[in-house]
Amino acid sequence: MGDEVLRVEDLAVYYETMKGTVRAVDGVSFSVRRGEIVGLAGESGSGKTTTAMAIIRLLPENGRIVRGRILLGDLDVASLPEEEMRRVRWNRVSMVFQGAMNALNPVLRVGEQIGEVLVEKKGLSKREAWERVKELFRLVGIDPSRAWDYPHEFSGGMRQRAMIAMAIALNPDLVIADEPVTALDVVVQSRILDLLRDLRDKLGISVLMITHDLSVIAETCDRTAIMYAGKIVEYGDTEVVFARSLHPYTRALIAAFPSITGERRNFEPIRGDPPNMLEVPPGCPFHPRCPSRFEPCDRREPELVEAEPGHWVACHLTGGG
Amino acid sequence: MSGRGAVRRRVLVRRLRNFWSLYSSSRLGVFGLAVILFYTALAALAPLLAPYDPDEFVGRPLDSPSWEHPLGTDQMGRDLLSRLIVGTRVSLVVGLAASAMAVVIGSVIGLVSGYFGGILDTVLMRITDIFIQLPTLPLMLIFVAILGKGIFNIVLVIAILGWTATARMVRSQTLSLKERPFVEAARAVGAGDLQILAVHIAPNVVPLIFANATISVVNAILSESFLSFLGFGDPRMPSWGMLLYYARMAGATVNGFWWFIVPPGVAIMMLALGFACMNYSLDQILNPRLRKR
Amino acid sequence: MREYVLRRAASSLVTFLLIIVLNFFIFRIMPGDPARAVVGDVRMKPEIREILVRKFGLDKPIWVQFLYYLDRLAHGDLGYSFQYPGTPVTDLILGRRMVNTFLLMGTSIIISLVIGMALGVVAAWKRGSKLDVGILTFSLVTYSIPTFWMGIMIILLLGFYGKLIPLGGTVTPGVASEGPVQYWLDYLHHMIGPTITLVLSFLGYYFLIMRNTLLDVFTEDYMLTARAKGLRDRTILFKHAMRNALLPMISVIALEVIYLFSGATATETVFSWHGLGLLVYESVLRSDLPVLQGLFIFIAISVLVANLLADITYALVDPRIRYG
Repeated sequence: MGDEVLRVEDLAVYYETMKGTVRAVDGVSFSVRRGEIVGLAGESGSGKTTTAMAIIRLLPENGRIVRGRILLGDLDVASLPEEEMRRVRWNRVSMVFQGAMNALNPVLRVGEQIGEVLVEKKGLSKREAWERVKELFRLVGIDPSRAWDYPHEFSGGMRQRAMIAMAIALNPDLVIADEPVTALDVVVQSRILDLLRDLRDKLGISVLMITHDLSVIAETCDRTAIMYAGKIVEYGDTEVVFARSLHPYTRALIAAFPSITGERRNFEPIRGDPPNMLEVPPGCPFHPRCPSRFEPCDRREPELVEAEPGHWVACHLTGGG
Repeated sequence: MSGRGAVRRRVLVRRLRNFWSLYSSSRLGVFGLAVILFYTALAALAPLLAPYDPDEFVGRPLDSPSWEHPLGTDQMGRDLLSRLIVGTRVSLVVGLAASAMAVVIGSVIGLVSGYFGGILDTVLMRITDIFIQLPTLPLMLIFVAILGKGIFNIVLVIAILGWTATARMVRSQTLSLKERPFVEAARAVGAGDLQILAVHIAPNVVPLIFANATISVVNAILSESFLSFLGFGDPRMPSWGMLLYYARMAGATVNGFWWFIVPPGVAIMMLALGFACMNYSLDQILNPRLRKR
Repeated sequence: MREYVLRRAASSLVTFLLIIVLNFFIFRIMPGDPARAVVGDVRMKPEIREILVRKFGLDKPIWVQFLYYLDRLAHGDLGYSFQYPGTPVTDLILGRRMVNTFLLMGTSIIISLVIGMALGVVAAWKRGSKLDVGILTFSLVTYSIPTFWMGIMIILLLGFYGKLIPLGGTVTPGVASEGPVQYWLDYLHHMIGPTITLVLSFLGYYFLIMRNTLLDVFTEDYMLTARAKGLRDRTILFKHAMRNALLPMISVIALEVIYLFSGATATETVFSWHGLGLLVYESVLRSDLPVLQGLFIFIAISVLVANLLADITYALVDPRIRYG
């Protein structure tokens, strides 16, 4: 599709650890279209953050992209030399880090931290950059006079707004938001999510939303991919995935988040623990925790198949494989 | 009870084996251990290895190195190689004794301060702060002036001024251990303070105390050598520092008696380096802040 | 900010008072006759002894003696030196010797700081490289060398064999008559050896601290942000990392003043550099207790002041405290 800003094809990222190779991401494919918000959901350790870090190419030293392509437009960044990648960062793909993170430099003024990318990567003068910073502040709903403040003078929500202002400063094709509202209180959460949707409507930005929180996905994302043990197990329009989920893991996830539908169903945490990524179970990785596993599940791995147009699932129940 | 003891022993053995595999993979650590073992052997076998009686006048005074006296002789014609070898004992024992004393003082203060907290903690930490802020060497000299010369006083002075870092470290570790579930569990079943300190907290602090002790040995060895160099040691127990004291008396620097100056200094440096290397790799393994990197 | 500085100053004041108390009692726990401790030689004439006993209140209970001591201290009276009879301790400490020590310490601290920090930055940036391991080994080795022996070796190599530096002392006797320029050149010439010794023994420490602080900073979340922004290495290192790493360095430098006094003591005794460190040694040899007592207080106060200054600088530089 021509208007895809990101297309990930068969991506695999492995970590070499003292105890062995961790296949954190193993054969993941999805895409983000212009002006679309796509969610990547899963428990911690499912490989969603690794996928994000692979796209912006900031994997830890022991992590390596072993296979696959990451297309930003026509450019495959999976194999781009570091120096060229440096130019791609923020110009074409930017990132909003976790709200709980100390992502802003404590000793630099917030405006300075946003302005520096405009000066260094766009060649703006300090003065022009400052004007643009104020404009960005207005856009994300912070009083422009606060640009001169230090991060510790901002509330958690404001810091996250500033992070978003920073992320859209260079009009990138794609903004990756990694748990952008985690650790914020609920009211602030929904305001930040509103802001992201607003910006998408106004500026047409595209967002890849990484989160463990399905309510965030339900509230913002057009399409959703559910990850488990380094693989995508279900993928499609958010409404379809939620209303007609096919994978038992997706259903279990949804059941674990009663707030999505607002009903007081007896919500039930998923049984068992996320898999040990050093020894992923054979066959379908979810089978030890799956309530509806049957004969082939522990031997053969299900493939991702299109169950209905635009709705993909990897499960033997749906005839995958 | 015996079953629990066996389990505990097995856990300990596994931990030690795990630790050793980490430690032996560090080149600096292995080097440090080798140096320390070498010196320990040297100290143990000193009388057998020394070619001459270190206190006898066996040659001409201030002879440069020869086949007869590989490291030359001092101003009284004593064999310097023999004195160097025998000096290993004094330097090693004084260094270990002084740092052991310092570490014991520091550990007790740290444990008590961290575990009991309150006013006791405030007072002890205030005292620790003062001691940390006092420069060691000039103070050691002042203490030696007050207490008098002699090897035991040197040990005492080094210990009195060397316990602070251990106290700080043990205190912070105790503070965090105190809040752990297993300590609360022990308290819930009615264990007393002393029992909790001895059974649950102290064993968990020991690895860090040990790492700290290695750097404390370095400081003790260096301090001892300086105090002995200034002539505050015991002439009947010549350490390496004392050899340098005699060198100074003989005007070795201004007369170019290099064989009198270089070997004792290298001996001190290598022993200190051995412990410093050991400390470095222990720190890499045991210090939680460095471990995650 | 104001509150922070006041709190730190108050804490320093408490420490200062405790040091004054400590100073009194340390010199009282000495074995033997307390009169000898304070008055000195037992062979002293009885009438002078009598005067001194009255002055120090030695015939009174210890807490009265303590009040006498505080009173004298408040008047800046630290007594008279035994080894230089008739010289007040304050004159001995606060005169030329203090200047000599501070010049030596100041020069060494600046040189070792600049070199150590530069090496630390390079090593941290190229962590694990040959260069990093090389400097790391070098600093472990210099840490293990006794400072006094390093001084002896430098005298032997540069002074005795190389004939590049004098074998000791602060100035060549009689050089003052040749004019001030000659005098200061001679002074600087004498300072080379002790300075090299101190720089070598402190370089490794600064290097290690700088390297490890930077490595710590590199793991911070905002460094990931800086890299994600695709900034130049130079910007990431000097703007984002260095500014954060320099803050802890300020405290390190202040703490280092403590070790510097130790280093200066070792260096001065070896090079016969007429400073406070040499004075400590000479006073110990001659049991000059009033001078030792004065030095104890002086050194303690210097360290306190250095730490307080560091805390204030820290507060001025760190926005979290400045606007906290």
